[in-house]
Amino acid sequence: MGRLRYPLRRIIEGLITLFIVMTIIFLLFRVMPGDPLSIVIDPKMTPEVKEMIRHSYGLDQPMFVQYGIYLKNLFTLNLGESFRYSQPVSEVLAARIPNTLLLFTSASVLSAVLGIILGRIIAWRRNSKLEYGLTLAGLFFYEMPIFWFGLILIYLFAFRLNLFPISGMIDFELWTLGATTGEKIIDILHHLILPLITLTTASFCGMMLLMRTSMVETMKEDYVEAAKARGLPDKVVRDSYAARNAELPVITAFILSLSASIGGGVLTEKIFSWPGIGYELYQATIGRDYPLAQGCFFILTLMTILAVIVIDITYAYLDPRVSYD
Amino acid sequence: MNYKFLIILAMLGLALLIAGTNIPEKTQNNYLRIAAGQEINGLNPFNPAFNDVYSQFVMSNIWEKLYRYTPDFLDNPAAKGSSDRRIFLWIAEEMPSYKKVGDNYEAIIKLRDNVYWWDGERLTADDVVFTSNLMLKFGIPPQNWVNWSITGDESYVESVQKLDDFTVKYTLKELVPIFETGALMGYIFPKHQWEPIIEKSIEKHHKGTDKISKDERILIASEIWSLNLGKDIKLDEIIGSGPFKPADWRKGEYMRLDANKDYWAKGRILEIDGREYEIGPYIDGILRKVYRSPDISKLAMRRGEVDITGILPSDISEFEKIETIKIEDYTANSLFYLGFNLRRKPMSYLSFRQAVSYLYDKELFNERIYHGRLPPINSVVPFVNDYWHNPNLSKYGEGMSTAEREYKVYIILKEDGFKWSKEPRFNIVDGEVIELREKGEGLMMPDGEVCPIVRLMGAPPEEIPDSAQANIMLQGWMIDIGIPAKYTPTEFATAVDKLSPIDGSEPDFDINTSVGWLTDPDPGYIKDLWHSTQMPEVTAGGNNYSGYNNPEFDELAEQSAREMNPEERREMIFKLQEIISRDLPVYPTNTVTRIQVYRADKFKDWFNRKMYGIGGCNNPYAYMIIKPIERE
Repeated sequence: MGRLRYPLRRIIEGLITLFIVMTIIFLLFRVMPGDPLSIVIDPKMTPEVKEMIRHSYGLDQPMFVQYGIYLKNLFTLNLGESFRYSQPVSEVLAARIPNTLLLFTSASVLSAVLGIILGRIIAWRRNSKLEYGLTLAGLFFYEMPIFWFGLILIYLFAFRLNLFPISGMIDFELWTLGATTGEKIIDILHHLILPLITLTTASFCGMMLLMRTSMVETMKEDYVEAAKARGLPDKVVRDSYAARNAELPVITAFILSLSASIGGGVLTEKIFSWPGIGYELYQATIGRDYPLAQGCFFILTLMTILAVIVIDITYAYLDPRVSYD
Repeated sequence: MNYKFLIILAMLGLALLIAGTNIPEKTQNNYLRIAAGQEINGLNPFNPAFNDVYSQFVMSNIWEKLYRYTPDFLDNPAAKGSSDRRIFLWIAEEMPSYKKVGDNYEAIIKLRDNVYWWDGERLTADDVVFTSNLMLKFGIPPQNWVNWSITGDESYVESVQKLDDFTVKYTLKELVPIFETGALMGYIFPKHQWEPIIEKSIEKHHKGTDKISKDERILIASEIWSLNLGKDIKLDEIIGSGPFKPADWRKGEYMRLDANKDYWAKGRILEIDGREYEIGPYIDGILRKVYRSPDISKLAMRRGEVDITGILPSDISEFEKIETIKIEDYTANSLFYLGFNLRRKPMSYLSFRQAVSYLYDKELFNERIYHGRLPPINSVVPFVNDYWHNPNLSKYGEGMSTAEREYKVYIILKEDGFKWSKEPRFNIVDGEVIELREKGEGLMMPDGEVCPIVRLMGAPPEEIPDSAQANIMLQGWMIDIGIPAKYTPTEFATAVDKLSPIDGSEPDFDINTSVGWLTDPDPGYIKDLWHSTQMPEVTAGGNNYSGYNNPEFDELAEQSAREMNPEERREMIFKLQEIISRDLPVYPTNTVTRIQVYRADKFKDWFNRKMYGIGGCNNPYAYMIIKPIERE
C-alpha cells in the first residue's frame, strides 16, 4: 500500500503545483503592459467591429470569467486559439514540438553520453593534463554565447566549406519540388548536424563536471577502496563500482534536461531558423499572444513536473536508502 | 581502445558521411527564391490579425483589386477626372463615372470581361457586389475594410448593386476620395467560394426571420475569420484571380506559390518609367523561405540559396564584390517623428517644442548613427510621396552646428519667458557661436514653475540600439541647456499602450520617439493622426496621441477628406502640413531607406517600385514581369 500511496501523493502534489504555476502565468500575462489586440484593432474601425474582435478573442469578459474559462480549458486540455495564427494552440504546438524534440532531445542525450564518459575519465585521472584540458575546454564552450558559436560553425562548415546547409530543418526547394521519403530523412539529418553540434558542445560540460564531482565523491567510498584492494582491474573498479553509483545525480539532471528540452532554445532556433517551440514561445510572449504563450508554458510545466515525479518515484524504487515517507 | 570512443568516432563518421552524402540534385527550375524574415501569420483575408506585410504579400498574389496605383506612381492619363491621378485600372476597365441623384451620388464601375478565377469561372459584377455587401450587410470586413468609413462610425457607401454582368453601381452618401483610393482598392473575392460559407454561418447563428442582430453578426464574423485557409479550405481549393497560387506551405519553413499560367492579364503591356513590360508570369513560381536571422539570410544570398533579400548599409561592400548580385535601394513612405504630449507642461509651450526640434539633429543622426538609412524629413508627408509632399516647410536647425542649435534654443526659450537658476553660457566669437561654455541649470517655465523632468520615451537599446543612441544624445543636449530630460527605454507594446490607452484614458508620455508609421500613398492619414476626434480620450485607441486640438486644422482636414479635385485637395494637404510644421504636435524626423540585393544572373527585368522596392505586398507588379535568364 505504501508503494502506491507515495506515487499517488506525488501526483496530487504535482497537480497542485501545476495549478499554482498556471494561475501565476495567467496573472503575469494580464498584468503585463500592452493590449494584445493593439496590433489588430484600428481606431478607424466602427465600435461594433472592435467589439466583434474583442469578443472573438474572448477579451470582452471580466478577468475572473477569463480565468474560469482558462481553467476549464486546461482541465479539458483545450489550449485555446492563438491570436496570431487564429489556429488552435494545440495545432501550432503539434507542428513545432516534434522539430524541437528532434533537435533538443538529441542534443540532451548526446550531451549526457559525452558528459558521463568524459566525466568518469577525468575523475579517474585527477590532476592530469587531460583533466585540466577537458575541464578548460568544456568551460570555454559552456560559457561561450551560443549564437556566436552557431554563427562561427555556420560560416565555417556551411558557408565556407559547403559541408552543411546554412539553416532550416529541410531544403525547401528539394521538399517542395519533389523528394523521396529516404531523401527527406537524409535531408533532415543533414540539417540537424550543425545545430546538434552547437548545442552538444555548449552543454556537455555541465554533465561532465557533475559526473566528475559525483564520481570523485564515490571514489572515496570504502567499497571502491575494497575493490581496488582486491586487485580488480582499474577499468572494472572505475566503470562497475565507482561510475555506476556516481551516475544517479547525472541521471536526475539528464531527465530534467530532457523535460526542459521540449522548450527548445530561442537563440539556437533563431540562428539556425529551426522551426521549433522556443522561438515561437518568445514571439508569443512579446506579441502578447496569451493563448499560445500559456499553451507553451503549460506543456513545459507539465513536462517538468512529470519529470520530477518520475525521478522521485524511480529513486524511491532504485535506491533503498530513499524512503517512501 | 575504449568502445565508447568507438561509438563517438562512429557518430562523427556518420556525421561526415551525411555531410558528404550526395544530396539529390534539385530539379532545374525557374522559381524565384525569396529570403523572408518572418513566418506568414495566415491567409484568411477576413482575419484582422493577418494584416502583416508577410501575409499580405501572399494574399496580394491571390486576390486582386478593381484599381491600383500606377506601377511607377506617375500620372495615368485615364485617371484625369479622379481624386488621384495615379489611380490605375486593374479589374475595372474604366475609371468610375459619377452622377448626383437626389442627396446621393451614383458611381458606375465597368469591369473587364476577360478576368477569370483560377477554377475557370469568370469574375463578374456578382463577385464585386458580394464582396462589398460582406461589409455593408453582414459587417464582415475584408482587408482594407477600414476605408469604408471616413469617420469611424458609418460607411459612406449606401448600397451596391449589379447593373449587368460587368457593371456595378455604388450608391454613395458622400463622394469622397477615399472611395477611390480605399474602398475600390480592396480585394475582390469569388462569390461562388465564399457565399456558401457565409450562408452556412448565417444559418447556424441567425435565429428567426428578422434582420441579423448585432450579436449574431459578431458570431458570424468570428466564425468567418477563424477559418484556417490551408486546412479548412485546402491550399489548392483557394480560388483567386491573381498571378500566383499557393501550392505548398510548411509552417515555419517555407511557402511555395506556383505561377498561374492562365493569368487573365498575361500579355497586357505595363508602362513603367517609360519602358514597356509584358505581363507574365514568366517564372515557375515563388519560394518563400523563412530565415530568422538577417546574418544567415545574407550568407544564404551569397551562397546562392536565395535570389533576393534585404541587407544593411554595412553589408553593401561585401555584395559589391559579387558580379552576379545587384544592389538596389528605395526610400519607404515611412514617417518617424518626435511626438509631444501637449496636455503636459512644458510640452504645451510651443517654444519648448521648437526648442526640442532644434536640438534634434536628424542630419547628424542619419550620418553618424544610421549610416544613411534614415534620411531626414521635414513634413508628415515624406518627400518620396512627391505629389502630396510640401517641400517648403521649416527646416529646424538644418545646417547648424550643435553649439549653434543650443544657442538658438537658449534664445527661443528665453524670449518666451523661460528662466534658469544658472543660465547656459556660450563662447561667441565675431557673432559665431563656437561652443557651449557652461551648462544651464534649474530651468523654470514662463509660469514660474520649475520645469519637471521630461521623459523621452524611446525603444530600448536591446530592441533598436541605434535609436537608443540617438535618444541618449538628445537627452544630453537637452540637459546641456538645462532641460531636465530622461531617456526612458520603453518596449514597443508598452509604448503603444501608453500612447493610446484602450480604456479611453489620457496617454501617459512626455515625448515619444517609439512609434512610426508606414503611411499610405493617399494623405488621408493626416486627418486620422491629428484630428481632435482621434485623441485617445475621445476615440478609444485613437492615434492623435499628442492631443492636438486645433479647429482650423480639423476643418481643413475634413474638407480635404471630401475634396475630389486633386489640385484643390493638394493645396489643402500642403496647408495641413504647414500647420503641423508650425504648431509642432509632432516634429517629423526621418523616413527609412531600405537596401535589397538580387540575383541579376538568374532573372532579368527586376522592378524596383518607388516607395516599396522589389516585390513585397505593395509591389504586386514585380514578380508578374520578372523573367528568367536562359542558362546553359
